[in-house]
Amino acid sequence: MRDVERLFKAYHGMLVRYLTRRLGDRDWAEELAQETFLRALRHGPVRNERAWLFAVATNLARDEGRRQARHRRHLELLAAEERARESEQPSAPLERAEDAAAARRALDDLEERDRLALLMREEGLGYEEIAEALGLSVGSIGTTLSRARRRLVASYERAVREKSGHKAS
Amino acid sequence: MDTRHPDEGTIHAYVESQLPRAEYEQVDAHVAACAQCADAVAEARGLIAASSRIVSALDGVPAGVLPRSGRRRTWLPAWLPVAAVGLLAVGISSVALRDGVRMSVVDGTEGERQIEDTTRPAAMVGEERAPQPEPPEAPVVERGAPTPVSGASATQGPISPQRAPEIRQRAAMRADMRVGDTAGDELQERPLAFISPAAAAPDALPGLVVSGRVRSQGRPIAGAMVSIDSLNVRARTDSAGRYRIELPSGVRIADAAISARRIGYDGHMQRIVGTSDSQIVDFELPAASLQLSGVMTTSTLRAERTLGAPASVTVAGAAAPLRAVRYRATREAIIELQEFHAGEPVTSRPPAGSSEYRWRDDARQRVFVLTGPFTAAELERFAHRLADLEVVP
Repeated sequence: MRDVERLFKAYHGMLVRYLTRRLGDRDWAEELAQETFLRALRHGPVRNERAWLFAVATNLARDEGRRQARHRRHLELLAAEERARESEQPSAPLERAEDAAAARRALDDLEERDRLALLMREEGLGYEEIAEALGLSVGSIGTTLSRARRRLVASYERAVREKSGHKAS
Repeated sequence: MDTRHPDEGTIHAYVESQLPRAEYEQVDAHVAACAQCADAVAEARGLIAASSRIVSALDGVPAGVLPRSGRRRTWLPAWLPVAAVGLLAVGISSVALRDGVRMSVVDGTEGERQIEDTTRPAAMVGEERAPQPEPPEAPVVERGAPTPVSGASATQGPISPQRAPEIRQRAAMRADMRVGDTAGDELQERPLAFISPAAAAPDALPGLVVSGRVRSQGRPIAGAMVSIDSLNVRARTDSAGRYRIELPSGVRIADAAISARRIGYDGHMQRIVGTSDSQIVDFELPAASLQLSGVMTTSTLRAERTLGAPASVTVAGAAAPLRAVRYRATREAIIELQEFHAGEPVTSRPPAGSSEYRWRDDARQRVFVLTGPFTAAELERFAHRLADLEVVP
Protein backbone atom coordinates (compact mmCIF):
# COMPACT_ATOMS: atom_id res chain seq x y z
CA MET A 1 0.00 0.00 0.00
CA ARG A 2 1.14 3.46 -0.60
CA ASP A 3 1.61 6.12 1.98
CA VAL A 4 2.10 3.77 4.86
CA GLU A 5 3.07 6.68 7.00
CA ARG A 6 -0.44 8.01 6.77
CA LEU A 7 -1.80 4.59 7.60
CA PHE A 8 0.54 4.37 10.52
CA LYS A 9 -0.61 7.67 11.96
CA ALA A 10 -4.22 6.76 11.49
CA TYR A 11 -4.23 3.21 12.71
CA HIS A 12 -1.14 2.29 14.64
CA GLY A 13 -2.47 3.36 18.02
CA MET A 14 -5.72 1.52 17.75
CA LEU A 15 -4.03 -1.55 16.36
CA VAL A 16 -1.64 -1.68 19.30
CA ARG A 17 -4.46 -1.26 21.75
CA TYR A 18 -6.52 -3.93 20.02
CA LEU A 19 -3.62 -6.35 20.07
CA THR A 20 -2.71 -5.53 23.66
CA ARG A 21 -6.22 -6.24 24.78
CA ARG A 22 -6.28 -9.44 22.82
CA LEU A 23 -2.86 -10.70 23.89
CA GLY A 24 -2.46 -9.08 27.27
CA ASP A 25 1.10 -8.27 26.38
CA ARG A 26 1.98 -4.85 25.14
CA ASP A 27 5.46 -5.58 23.88
CA TRP A 28 4.23 -8.40 21.80
CA ALA A 29 1.37 -6.22 20.56
CA GLU A 30 3.84 -3.57 19.40
CA GLU A 31 5.86 -6.20 17.58
CA LEU A 32 2.85 -7.53 15.76
CA ALA A 33 1.69 -4.05 14.88
CA GLN A 34 5.07 -3.33 13.32
CA GLU A 35 4.88 -6.54 11.36
CA THR A 36 1.41 -5.63 10.18
CA PHE A 37 2.56 -2.32 8.77
CA LEU A 38 5.55 -3.95 7.13
CA ARG A 39 3.18 -6.23 5.31
CA ALA A 40 1.03 -3.27 4.34
CA LEU A 41 4.11 -1.76 2.75
CA ARG A 42 4.61 -4.82 0.61
CA HIS A 43 0.98 -5.24 -0.29
CA GLY A 44 -0.97 -3.73 -3.16
CA PRO A 45 -3.87 -1.34 -2.66
CA VAL A 46 -6.98 -2.60 -0.87
CA ARG A 47 -10.53 -1.38 -0.73
CA ASN A 48 -10.76 -1.00 3.02
CA GLU A 49 -7.42 -0.42 4.67
CA ARG A 50 -8.57 -0.55 8.24
CA ALA A 51 -10.34 -3.86 7.80
CA TRP A 52 -7.28 -5.24 6.03
CA LEU A 53 -4.91 -4.12 8.76
CA PHE A 54 -7.06 -5.63 11.47
CA ALA A 55 -7.38 -8.87 9.51
CA VAL A 56 -3.62 -9.16 9.15
CA ALA A 57 -2.97 -8.24 12.76
CA THR A 58 -5.53 -10.79 13.89
CA ASN A 59 -3.95 -13.52 11.83
CA LEU A 60 -0.53 -12.70 13.15
CA ALA A 61 -1.88 -12.91 16.66
CA ARG A 62 -3.18 -16.37 15.93
CA ASP A 63 0.30 -17.79 15.62
CA GLU A 64 -0.07 -20.68 17.97
CA GLY A 65 3.37 -21.66 19.10
CA ARG A 66 4.60 -18.31 20.19
CA ARG A 67 1.29 -17.44 21.67
CA GLN A 68 1.29 -20.39 23.98
CA ALA A 69 4.77 -19.69 25.20
CA ARG A 70 3.93 -16.07 25.77
CA HIS A 71 0.68 -16.99 27.39
CA ARG A 72 2.39 -19.21 29.89
CA ARG A 73 4.87 -16.54 30.75
CA HIS A 74 2.10 -14.03 30.98
CA LEU A 75 0.17 -16.18 33.38
CA GLU A 76 3.22 -16.58 35.53
CA LEU A 77 3.72 -12.87 35.64
CA LEU A 78 0.11 -12.35 36.59
CA ALA A 79 0.33 -14.91 39.33
CA ALA A 80 3.45 -13.33 40.72
CA GLU A 81 1.86 -9.92 40.65
CA GLU A 82 -1.16 -11.25 42.40
CA ARG A 83 0.89 -12.77 45.17
CA ALA A 84 2.89 -9.60 45.61
CA ARG A 85 -0.22 -7.54 45.75
CA GLU A 86 -1.95 -9.75 48.22
CA SER A 87 0.95 -9.71 50.62
CA GLU A 88 1.13 -5.94 50.49
CA GLN A 89 -2.41 -4.99 51.21
CA PRO A 90 -4.69 -7.85 51.99
CA SER A 91 -7.59 -5.68 52.92
CA ALA A 92 -7.47 -3.06 50.20
CA PRO A 93 -6.31 -4.40 46.86
CA LEU A 94 -5.84 -1.97 44.05
CA GLU A 95 -9.15 -1.34 42.46
CA ARG A 96 -7.73 -0.84 39.09
CA ALA A 97 -5.67 -4.00 39.00
CA GLU A 98 -8.57 -5.99 40.38
CA ASP A 99 -10.85 -4.75 37.71
CA ALA A 100 -8.29 -5.36 35.01
CA ALA A 101 -7.94 -8.93 36.23
CA ALA A 102 -11.68 -9.43 36.27
CA ALA A 103 -11.96 -7.93 32.82
CA ARG A 104 -9.21 -10.23 31.62
CA ARG A 105 -10.97 -13.27 32.93
CA ALA A 106 -14.21 -12.18 31.40
CA LEU A 107 -12.65 -11.56 28.02
CA ASP A 108 -10.85 -14.88 28.07
CA ASP A 109 -14.20 -16.49 28.71
CA LEU A 110 -15.45 -15.60 25.25
CA GLU A 111 -15.20 -17.60 22.09
CA GLU A 112 -12.29 -16.39 19.99
CA ARG A 113 -14.46 -15.09 17.20
CA ASP A 114 -16.77 -13.25 19.57
CA ARG A 115 -13.83 -11.78 21.40
CA LEU A 116 -12.16 -10.51 18.25
CA ALA A 117 -15.38 -9.01 16.94
CA LEU A 118 -15.95 -7.20 20.21
CA LEU A 119 -12.42 -5.84 20.41
CA MET A 120 -12.65 -4.62 16.85
CA ARG A 121 -15.95 -2.96 17.54
CA GLU A 122 -14.36 -1.22 20.51
CA GLU A 123 -11.84 0.28 18.10
CA GLY A 124 -14.70 1.71 16.11
CA LEU A 125 -14.77 -0.69 13.20
CA GLY A 126 -18.13 -0.89 11.49
CA TYR A 127 -19.99 -4.16 11.12
CA GLU A 128 -18.92 -4.42 7.49
CA GLU A 129 -15.29 -3.96 8.38
CA ILE A 130 -15.49 -6.53 11.14
CA ALA A 131 -17.16 -8.94 8.76
CA GLU A 132 -14.41 -8.42 6.22
CA ALA A 133 -11.60 -8.69 8.75
CA LEU A 134 -12.95 -11.91 10.21
CA GLY A 135 -14.34 -13.44 7.06
CA LEU A 136 -17.92 -13.49 8.34
CA SER A 137 -21.20 -12.30 6.87
CA VAL A 138 -22.28 -8.81 7.81
CA GLY A 139 -25.62 -10.09 8.98
CA SER A 140 -24.02 -12.24 11.63
CA ILE A 141 -22.03 -9.47 13.29
CA GLY A 142 -24.90 -8.11 15.33
CA THR A 143 -25.62 -11.51 16.79
CA THR A 144 -21.95 -12.14 17.41
CA LEU A 145 -21.57 -8.87 19.27
CA SER A 146 -24.73 -9.23 21.30
CA ARG A 147 -23.68 -12.68 22.37
CA ALA A 148 -20.17 -11.49 23.19
CA ARG A 149 -21.41 -8.58 25.25
CA ARG A 150 -23.93 -10.55 27.18
CA ARG A 151 -21.39 -13.13 28.06
CA LEU A 152 -18.67 -10.63 28.83
CA VAL A 153 -20.85 -8.74 31.25
CA ALA A 154 -22.01 -11.92 32.97
CA SER A 155 -18.49 -13.26 33.28
CA TYR A 156 -17.21 -9.99 34.58
CA GLU A 157 -19.89 -9.79 37.23
CA ARG A 158 -19.07 -13.31 38.27
CA ALA A 159 -15.37 -12.57 38.44
CA VAL A 160 -16.02 -9.48 40.51
CA ARG A 161 -18.28 -11.38 42.90
CA GLU A 162 -15.85 -14.19 43.32
CA LYS A 163 -13.05 -11.80 43.98
CA SER A 164 -14.69 -9.84 46.71
CA GLY A 165 -16.96 -12.41 48.25
CA HIS A 166 -20.68 -12.20 48.22
CA LYS A 167 -22.05 -8.84 49.09
CA ALA A 168 -25.28 -8.53 50.95
CA SER A 169 -27.86 -8.77 48.30
CA MET B 1 -43.58 -4.34 6.80
CA ASP B 2 -42.22 -7.08 8.94
CA THR B 3 -43.96 -6.79 12.24
CA ARG B 4 -42.17 -9.58 13.99
CA HIS B 5 -39.91 -8.61 16.83
CA PRO B 6 -36.30 -8.02 15.76
CA ASP B 7 -33.83 -10.46 17.25
CA GLU B 8 -31.11 -9.41 19.64
CA GLY B 9 -28.44 -9.13 16.95
CA THR B 10 -30.64 -6.81 14.96
CA ILE B 11 -31.35 -4.75 18.05
CA HIS B 12 -27.64 -4.25 18.64
CA ALA B 13 -27.13 -3.35 15.01
CA TYR B 14 -29.99 -0.90 15.30
CA VAL B 15 -28.64 0.73 18.44
CA GLU B 16 -25.24 1.05 16.86
CA SER B 17 -26.65 2.44 13.60
CA GLN B 18 -25.22 -0.41 11.60
CA LEU B 19 -28.36 -1.46 9.81
CA PRO B 20 -29.04 -0.62 6.19
CA ARG B 21 -31.31 2.35 6.02
CA ALA B 22 -34.52 0.63 5.09
CA GLU B 23 -34.14 -1.98 7.78
CA TYR B 24 -33.18 0.66 10.30
CA GLU B 25 -36.38 2.52 9.66
CA GLN B 26 -38.46 -0.61 9.95
CA VAL B 27 -36.95 -1.46 13.28
CA ASP B 28 -37.21 2.10 14.46
CA ALA B 29 -40.91 2.17 13.70
CA HIS B 30 -41.44 -1.16 15.38
CA VAL B 31 -39.56 -0.20 18.53
CA ALA B 32 -41.58 2.98 18.84
CA ALA B 33 -44.75 0.94 19.04
CA CYS B 34 -43.59 -2.11 20.94
CA ALA B 35 -42.84 -1.93 24.66
CA GLN B 36 -41.11 -5.27 24.71
CA CYS B 37 -38.66 -4.24 22.03
CA ALA B 38 -38.14 -0.87 23.59
CA ASP B 39 -37.02 -2.74 26.68
CA ALA B 40 -34.73 -4.82 24.55
CA VAL B 41 -33.22 -1.66 23.15
CA ALA B 42 -32.62 -0.31 26.62
CA GLU B 43 -31.03 -3.55 27.66
CA ALA B 44 -28.83 -3.55 24.59
CA ARG B 45 -27.64 -0.05 25.38
CA GLY B 46 -26.75 -1.16 28.86
CA LEU B 47 -24.81 -4.14 27.60
CA ILE B 48 -23.02 -2.11 24.98
CA ALA B 49 -21.94 0.48 27.49
CA ALA B 50 -20.98 -2.04 30.12
CA SER B 51 -18.94 -4.08 27.65
CA SER B 52 -17.12 -0.97 26.62
CA ARG B 53 -16.30 -0.21 30.20
CA ILE B 54 -15.10 -3.71 30.87
CA VAL B 55 -12.88 -3.79 27.80
CA SER B 56 -11.41 -0.45 28.78
CA ALA B 57 -10.67 -1.83 32.20
CA LEU B 58 -8.16 -4.12 30.56
CA ASP B 59 -5.98 -1.16 29.89
CA GLY B 60 -5.87 -0.26 33.54
CA VAL B 61 -6.84 3.25 32.63
CA PRO B 62 -10.35 4.60 32.94
CA ALA B 63 -12.21 5.24 29.76
CA GLY B 64 -14.40 8.23 29.31
CA VAL B 65 -13.52 9.83 32.58
CA LEU B 66 -11.60 13.04 32.06
CA PRO B 67 -10.92 12.39 28.43
CA ARG B 68 -7.79 14.19 27.42
CA SER B 69 -8.04 16.41 24.42
CA GLY B 70 -7.28 14.61 21.23
CA ARG B 71 -8.00 11.21 22.69
CA ARG B 72 -11.60 11.85 23.50
CA ARG B 73 -13.20 10.10 20.59
CA THR B 74 -11.22 6.99 21.02
CA TRP B 75 -12.16 6.42 24.58
CA LEU B 76 -15.78 7.28 24.84
CA PRO B 77 -18.44 4.76 24.00
CA ALA B 78 -19.74 4.98 20.49
CA TRP B 79 -23.27 5.88 21.46
CA LEU B 80 -22.26 9.05 23.22
CA PRO B 81 -23.75 11.97 21.34
CA VAL B 82 -21.26 14.55 20.27
CA ALA B 83 -23.02 17.39 22.05
CA ALA B 84 -22.58 15.70 25.38
CA VAL B 85 -18.89 15.40 24.78
CA GLY B 86 -18.70 19.15 24.43
CA LEU B 87 -20.49 19.61 27.70
CA LEU B 88 -18.17 17.19 29.33
CA ALA B 89 -15.18 19.20 28.30
CA VAL B 90 -16.73 22.35 29.70
CA GLY B 91 -17.54 20.67 32.95
CA ILE B 92 -14.09 19.38 33.49
CA SER B 93 -12.27 22.61 32.90
CA SER B 94 -14.42 24.35 35.46
CA VAL B 95 -13.56 21.74 37.99
CA ALA B 96 -9.91 22.11 37.28
CA LEU B 97 -10.07 25.81 37.79
CA ARG B 98 -12.25 26.04 40.82
CA ASP B 99 -11.60 23.02 42.82
CA GLY B 100 -7.98 23.52 43.52
CA VAL B 101 -7.60 19.96 42.48
CA ARG B 102 -4.37 18.10 42.61
CA MET B 103 -3.28 17.81 39.07
CA SER B 104 -0.15 15.80 39.52
CA VAL B 105 -0.11 12.21 38.53
CA VAL B 106 -0.68 10.04 41.50
CA ASP B 107 -0.16 6.37 41.25
CA GLY B 108 -3.10 4.19 42.08
CA THR B 109 -1.87 2.99 45.40
CA GLU B 110 -1.13 6.33 46.88
CA GLY B 111 -4.29 7.85 45.59
CA GLU B 112 -6.31 5.22 47.30
CA ARG B 113 -4.48 5.48 50.53
CA GLN B 114 -5.15 9.14 50.61
CA ILE B 115 -8.78 8.47 50.24
CA GLU B 116 -8.62 5.82 52.86
CA ASP B 117 -7.32 8.38 55.30
CA THR B 118 -10.49 10.34 55.17
CA THR B 119 -12.57 7.39 56.15
CA ARG B 120 -13.22 5.85 59.45
CA PRO B 121 -10.21 3.72 60.27
CA ALA B 122 -12.43 0.88 61.38
CA ALA B 123 -12.61 -2.55 59.89
CA MET B 124 -15.08 -1.42 57.30
CA VAL B 125 -12.58 -0.51 54.64
CA GLY B 126 -12.18 -1.84 51.18
CA GLU B 127 -14.56 -3.40 48.79
CA GLU B 128 -15.01 -6.73 50.45
CA ARG B 129 -17.21 -5.89 53.32
CA ALA B 130 -20.92 -5.79 52.84
CA PRO B 131 -22.65 -2.45 53.12
CA GLN B 132 -24.39 -2.12 56.44
CA PRO B 133 -26.49 0.94 56.71
CA GLU B 134 -28.02 -0.18 60.00
CA PRO B 135 -27.82 -3.17 62.21
CA PRO B 136 -29.84 -5.75 60.39
CA GLU B 137 -32.11 -6.57 63.27
CA ALA B 138 -33.70 -3.19 63.52
CA PRO B 139 -34.23 -1.35 60.29
CA VAL B 140 -35.05 2.18 61.11
CA VAL B 141 -38.48 3.53 60.62
CA GLU B 142 -38.41 6.86 58.94
CA ARG B 143 -41.29 9.22 59.14
CA GLY B 144 -42.07 12.03 56.81
CA ALA B 145 -42.67 14.63 59.47
CA PRO B 146 -40.24 17.52 59.58
CA THR B 147 -39.38 17.03 63.20
CA PRO B 148 -35.80 17.33 64.27
CA VAL B 149 -34.24 14.32 65.81
CA SER B 150 -34.66 14.28 69.53
CA GLY B 151 -35.13 11.18 71.63
CA ALA B 152 -32.95 8.17 71.67
CA SER B 153 -32.19 5.75 68.94
CA ALA B 154 -32.50 2.14 69.84
CA THR B 155 -29.19 1.43 68.30
CA GLN B 156 -26.99 4.36 68.98
CA GLY B 157 -27.84 6.07 72.19
CA PRO B 158 -28.75 9.74 72.40
CA ILE B 159 -28.31 11.54 69.18
CA SER B 160 -26.54 14.78 69.69
CA PRO B 161 -27.81 17.84 67.88
CA GLN B 162 -24.57 17.85 66.02
CA ARG B 163 -25.24 14.51 64.45
CA ALA B 164 -28.80 15.33 63.62
CA PRO B 165 -28.16 17.22 60.40
CA GLU B 166 -25.94 14.51 59.05
CA ILE B 167 -28.36 11.80 59.93
CA ARG B 168 -31.13 13.75 58.35
CA GLN B 169 -29.00 14.13 55.34
CA ARG B 170 -28.35 10.45 55.20
CA ALA B 171 -32.00 9.71 55.56
CA ALA B 172 -32.75 12.23 52.87
CA MET B 173 -30.34 10.44 50.60
CA ARG B 174 -32.00 7.17 51.13
CA ALA B 175 -35.47 8.45 50.73
CA ASP B 176 -34.56 10.05 47.49
CA MET B 177 -33.27 6.95 45.85
CA ARG B 178 -36.29 5.84 43.99
CA VAL B 179 -36.79 4.04 40.78
CA GLY B 180 -38.65 5.87 38.13
CA ASP B 181 -38.33 9.40 39.43
CA THR B 182 -37.76 11.85 36.69
CA ALA B 183 -34.55 13.74 36.68
CA GLY B 184 -33.72 15.95 39.58
CA ASP B 185 -35.79 18.97 39.93
CA GLU B 186 -39.17 17.50 40.38
CA LEU B 187 -38.06 15.44 43.30
CA GLN B 188 -39.04 16.92 46.60
CA GLU B 189 -36.77 16.60 49.52
CA ARG B 190 -38.50 15.79 52.70
CA PRO B 191 -36.58 16.33 55.83
CA LEU B 192 -36.71 13.10 57.71
CA ALA B 193 -35.96 12.06 61.18
CA PHE B 194 -35.18 8.77 62.71
CA ILE B 195 -37.41 7.55 65.39
CA SER B 196 -37.18 4.23 67.05
CA PRO B 197 -39.56 2.15 69.09
CA ALA B 198 -37.70 3.22 72.18
CA ALA B 199 -38.63 6.82 71.55
CA ALA B 200 -42.33 6.05 71.92
CA ALA B 201 -43.98 6.38 75.31
CA PRO B 202 -42.87 3.30 77.20
CA ASP B 203 -46.25 2.40 78.59
CA ALA B 204 -48.22 2.73 75.34
CA LEU B 205 -49.59 -0.32 73.65
CA PRO B 206 -47.31 -1.51 70.88
CA GLY B 207 -48.45 -0.43 67.46
CA LEU B 208 -49.18 -2.60 64.49
CA VAL B 209 -46.25 -4.16 62.79
CA VAL B 210 -46.05 -4.69 59.09
CA SER B 211 -43.13 -6.83 58.12
CA GLY B 212 -42.02 -9.22 55.48
CA ARG B 213 -39.41 -9.89 52.90
CA VAL B 214 -38.53 -8.48 49.56
CA ARG B 215 -37.17 -10.89 47.03
CA SER B 216 -36.41 -11.17 43.38
CA GLN B 217 -36.38 -14.60 41.82
CA GLY B 218 -35.93 -16.12 45.22
CA ARG B 219 -32.99 -13.94 46.15
CA PRO B 220 -33.41 -11.50 49.02
CA ILE B 221 -33.05 -7.87 48.10
CA ALA B 222 -31.25 -5.67 50.59
CA GLY B 223 -31.70 -1.95 50.65
CA ALA B 224 -35.18 -2.01 49.17
CA MET B 225 -37.49 0.69 50.40
CA VAL B 226 -40.86 -0.47 51.62
CA SER B 227 -43.30 2.30 52.27
CA ILE B 228 -46.86 2.98 53.20
CA ASP B 229 -47.18 6.39 51.69
CA SER B 230 -50.53 7.28 53.12
CA LEU B 231 -49.18 6.83 56.63
CA ASN B 232 -45.86 8.39 55.81
CA VAL B 233 -43.87 5.46 57.08
CA ARG B 234 -41.20 3.45 55.43
CA ALA B 235 -38.41 1.05 56.16
CA ARG B 236 -35.49 -0.41 54.34
CA THR B 237 -34.76 -4.10 53.98
CA ASP B 238 -31.75 -5.59 55.66
CA SER B 239 -29.22 -7.95 54.17
CA ALA B 240 -31.72 -10.79 54.33
CA GLY B 241 -34.33 -8.77 52.55
CA ARG B 242 -36.41 -8.37 55.68
CA TYR B 243 -38.16 -5.20 56.65
CA ARG B 244 -40.21 -4.13 59.59
CA ILE B 245 -42.48 -1.17 59.87
CA GLU B 246 -43.85 -0.39 63.28
CA LEU B 247 -46.79 1.93 63.32
CA PRO B 248 -47.37 4.17 66.27
CA SER B 249 -49.81 2.71 68.73
CA GLY B 250 -53.40 3.52 68.03
CA VAL B 251 -52.90 3.63 64.27
CA ARG B 252 -54.99 1.20 62.35
CA ILE B 253 -55.05 0.57 58.70
CA ALA B 254 -58.28 1.04 56.83
CA ASP B 255 -57.02 0.71 53.32
CA ALA B 256 -53.44 1.42 52.52
CA ALA B 257 -51.09 0.76 49.66
CA ILE B 258 -47.73 -0.65 50.56
CA SER B 259 -44.99 -0.65 48.00
CA ALA B 260 -41.48 -1.97 47.66
CA ARG B 261 -38.89 -0.32 45.48
CA ARG B 262 -35.26 -0.79 44.70
CA ILE B 263 -32.96 0.48 42.02
CA GLY B 264 -32.53 -2.13 39.37
CA TYR B 265 -35.93 -3.67 39.94
CA ASP B 266 -39.45 -2.82 39.01
CA GLY B 267 -41.47 -1.67 41.99
CA HIS B 268 -44.35 -3.63 43.36
CA MET B 269 -47.40 -2.49 45.21
CA GLN B 270 -49.88 -4.33 47.36
CA ARG B 271 -52.79 -3.29 49.48
CA ILE B 272 -53.51 -3.78 53.15
CA VAL B 273 -57.21 -3.50 53.81
CA GLY B 274 -59.18 -3.09 57.00
CA THR B 275 -56.99 -4.62 59.61
CA SER B 276 -56.17 -4.23 63.23
CA ASP B 277 -53.68 -7.04 63.23
CA SER B 278 -50.03 -7.08 62.41
CA GLN B 279 -49.40 -8.07 58.86
CA ILE B 280 -46.83 -9.90 56.89
CA VAL B 281 -46.46 -8.62 53.38
CA ASP B 282 -43.86 -10.13 51.10
CA PHE B 283 -42.77 -8.74 47.80
CA GLU B 284 -41.41 -10.27 44.66
CA LEU B 285 -39.69 -7.75 42.43
CA PRO B 286 -38.94 -8.46 38.82
CA ALA B 287 -35.59 -7.27 37.59
CA ALA B 288 -35.96 -3.91 35.93
CA SER B 289 -35.78 -3.50 32.22
CA LEU B 290 -32.76 -1.26 32.79
CA GLN B 291 -34.67 1.74 31.69
CA LEU B 292 -34.63 4.33 34.40
CA SER B 293 -35.46 7.86 33.56
CA GLY B 294 -33.45 9.11 36.45
CA VAL B 295 -32.39 8.39 39.96
CA MET B 296 -31.85 11.18 42.34
CA THR B 297 -29.73 11.11 45.37
CA THR B 298 -28.67 14.06 47.34
CA SER B 299 -25.48 14.46 49.19
CA THR B 300 -22.72 16.92 49.11
CA LEU B 301 -19.93 16.05 46.85
CA ARG B 302 -16.38 17.00 46.43
CA ALA B 303 -14.65 15.65 43.40
CA GLU B 304 -11.02 14.74 43.51
CA ARG B 305 -9.32 14.20 40.26
CA THR B 306 -5.87 13.12 39.43
CA LEU B 307 -4.57 12.66 35.97
CA GLY B 308 -3.77 9.22 34.91
CA ALA B 309 -5.53 7.55 37.79
CA PRO B 310 -9.12 6.54 38.19
CA ALA B 311 -11.22 9.50 39.16
CA SER B 312 -12.21 9.05 42.75
CA VAL B 313 -15.12 10.81 44.19
CA THR B 314 -15.45 11.62 47.82
CA VAL B 315 -18.57 12.79 49.45
CA ALA B 316 -18.20 15.67 51.78
CA GLY B 317 -20.79 16.84 54.23
CA ALA B 318 -21.34 20.35 55.29
CA ALA B 319 -20.07 19.67 58.74
CA ALA B 320 -17.57 16.96 58.22
CA PRO B 321 -16.43 14.78 55.37
CA LEU B 322 -18.50 11.71 54.92
CA ARG B 323 -16.95 8.39 54.28
CA ALA B 324 -15.13 8.24 51.00
CA VAL B 325 -17.03 6.57 48.28
CA ARG B 326 -14.81 4.89 45.81
CA TYR B 327 -16.60 3.78 42.75
CA ARG B 328 -15.37 0.41 42.05
CA ALA B 329 -13.51 0.82 38.81
CA THR B 330 -14.97 4.18 38.02
CA ARG B 331 -15.28 2.96 34.51
CA GLU B 332 -18.03 0.70 35.77
CA ALA B 333 -20.29 3.35 37.01
CA ILE B 334 -19.04 6.54 35.55
CA ILE B 335 -19.05 7.20 31.93
CA GLU B 336 -19.37 10.89 32.22
CA LEU B 337 -18.93 13.09 35.17
CA GLN B 338 -20.38 16.43 34.41
CA GLU B 339 -20.51 19.37 36.64
CA PHE B 340 -22.89 22.23 36.57
CA HIS B 341 -23.09 25.32 38.66
CA ALA B 342 -26.14 26.74 40.30
CA GLY B 343 -28.27 28.54 37.80
CA GLU B 344 -26.73 26.74 34.87
CA PRO B 345 -29.12 24.78 32.78
CA VAL B 346 -28.50 21.14 33.30
CA THR B 347 -28.34 18.92 30.25
CA SER B 348 -31.51 17.72 28.78
CA ARG B 349 -32.86 14.40 29.85
CA PRO B 350 -30.68 11.42 29.26
CA PRO B 351 -31.49 9.48 26.14
CA ALA B 352 -34.14 6.85 26.57
CA GLY B 353 -32.61 3.76 28.01
CA SER B 354 -29.93 5.57 29.93
CA SER B 355 -29.97 6.58 33.53
CA GLU B 356 -28.54 9.32 35.60
CA TYR B 357 -27.29 9.81 39.05
CA ARG B 358 -27.06 13.28 40.34
CA TRP B 359 -25.42 14.72 43.36
CA ARG B 360 -26.05 18.19 44.46
CA ASP B 361 -23.29 19.92 46.32
CA ASP B 362 -25.21 22.43 48.32
CA ALA B 363 -22.13 23.86 49.91
CA ARG B 364 -20.76 24.82 46.56
CA GLN B 365 -23.91 24.98 44.55
CA ARG B 366 -22.87 22.31 42.16
CA VAL B 367 -24.64 19.43 40.62
CA PHE B 368 -22.78 16.37 39.46
CA VAL B 369 -24.36 14.12 36.95
CA LEU B 370 -23.40 10.61 36.08
CA THR B 371 -24.99 9.22 33.01
CA GLY B 372 -25.45 5.57 32.18
CA PRO B 373 -26.78 3.35 30.83
CA PHE B 374 -25.83 1.01 33.57
CA THR B 375 -26.63 -2.62 33.95
CA ALA B 376 -28.74 -3.69 36.89
CA ALA B 377 -25.74 -5.20 38.61
CA GLU B 378 -23.76 -2.01 38.32
CA LEU B 379 -26.61 -0.04 39.75
CA GLU B 380 -26.90 -2.42 42.61
CA ARG B 381 -23.26 -1.97 43.48
CA PHE B 382 -23.66 1.71 43.03
CA ALA B 383 -26.65 1.83 45.30
CA HIS B 384 -24.72 0.03 47.99
CA ARG B 385 -22.05 2.65 47.81
CA LEU B 386 -24.44 5.47 48.20
CA ALA B 387 -26.37 3.81 50.96
CA ASP B 388 -23.14 3.37 52.79
CA LEU B 389 -22.32 6.92 53.57
CA GLU B 390 -21.71 7.77 57.16
CA VAL B 391 -20.32 10.62 59.10
CA VAL B 392 -16.70 10.60 59.99
CA PRO B 393 -16.36 12.34 63.31
